[in-house]
Amino acid sequence: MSKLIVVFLSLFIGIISLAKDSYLNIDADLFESRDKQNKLYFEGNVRLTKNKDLLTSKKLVINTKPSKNNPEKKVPKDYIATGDVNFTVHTKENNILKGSGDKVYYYPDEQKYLIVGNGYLEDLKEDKKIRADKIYIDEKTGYTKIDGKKNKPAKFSIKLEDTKEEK
Amino acid sequence: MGITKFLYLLLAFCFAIIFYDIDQIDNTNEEIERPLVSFYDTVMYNIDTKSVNNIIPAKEAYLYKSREEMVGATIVTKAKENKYQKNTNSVSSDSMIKVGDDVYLDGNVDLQMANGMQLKTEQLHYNLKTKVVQNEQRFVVTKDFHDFYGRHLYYDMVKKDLKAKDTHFNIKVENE
Repeated sequence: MSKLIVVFLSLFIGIISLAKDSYLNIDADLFESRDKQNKLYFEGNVRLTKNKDLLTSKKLVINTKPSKNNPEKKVPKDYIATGDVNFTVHTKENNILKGSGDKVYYYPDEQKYLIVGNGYLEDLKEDKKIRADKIYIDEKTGYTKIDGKKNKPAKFSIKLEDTKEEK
Repeated sequence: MGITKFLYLLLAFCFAIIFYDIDQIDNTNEEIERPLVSFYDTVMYNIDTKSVNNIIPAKEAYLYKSREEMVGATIVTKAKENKYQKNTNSVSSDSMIKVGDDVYLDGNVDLQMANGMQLKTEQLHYNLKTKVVQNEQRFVVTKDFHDFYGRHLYYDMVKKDLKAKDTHFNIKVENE
């Protein structure tokens, strides 16, 4: 199951991961960059797209740091999307993954992901669903941790194929 | 009888229009400020004891009592940092008006920085004291392979803080 989750979230990773020769588009009502704080703020109808992949939220904060190759150039340190976060990702295996949460963190260097609050992941092709309050994913190690709350335990939903009995 | 009255009225109306027009012309004459100095197809240099700081070619330049105006001008300044291939910054526009510390640029504003950044818009306001750039119209900033579109730009060149509305980013992403 943990591998499955990793595959699910690798789609979301696909949206914001740094791939060569790919373009990332970000639309927002308001943008603010604070150089000293190394922060980029996007607010209001945030829409992040990369190819067919899409992430929408009310707010997106990108914390930046100097690039290892060129210290004058700043690269993303982490992405924090908050407020009605929804994402749709197309995998290489032609799967479409949908997810949502109150807050989604992505750490590109560590390739770690965290969905906090009403975490939800769905594989449209396989019809598999995961619901949990917190979902941690480490893409490098494949380690996945799913936390539920007392009132909201983690839930898995997998569609089983019907087996017809031979007469 | 009626025709006579009508002719008198018409005459009075004509006089009113003639005097009204004369008053208008007189008022506009009073408002026009003539430049103290005019330059045409000029190149201005801002020189100190060490080097040339600014070069400003302009089609027309007018020096008034309280403002300076330029038409079809480009301001070329020497970049402070000498680490880029290009060592100058430049800004050009159809019209530039400087009043005190405020510089208003209008029409085909094109700002090119030594670091490769380019800003294009139709209107820009720059304050020489605060070093804040502002505009209200659509703008596009390009640097390397990145594009940044928006309106209501606010850029503090000292703090390097930037704000904008209705923004769209098109970013080429690379592996670290």
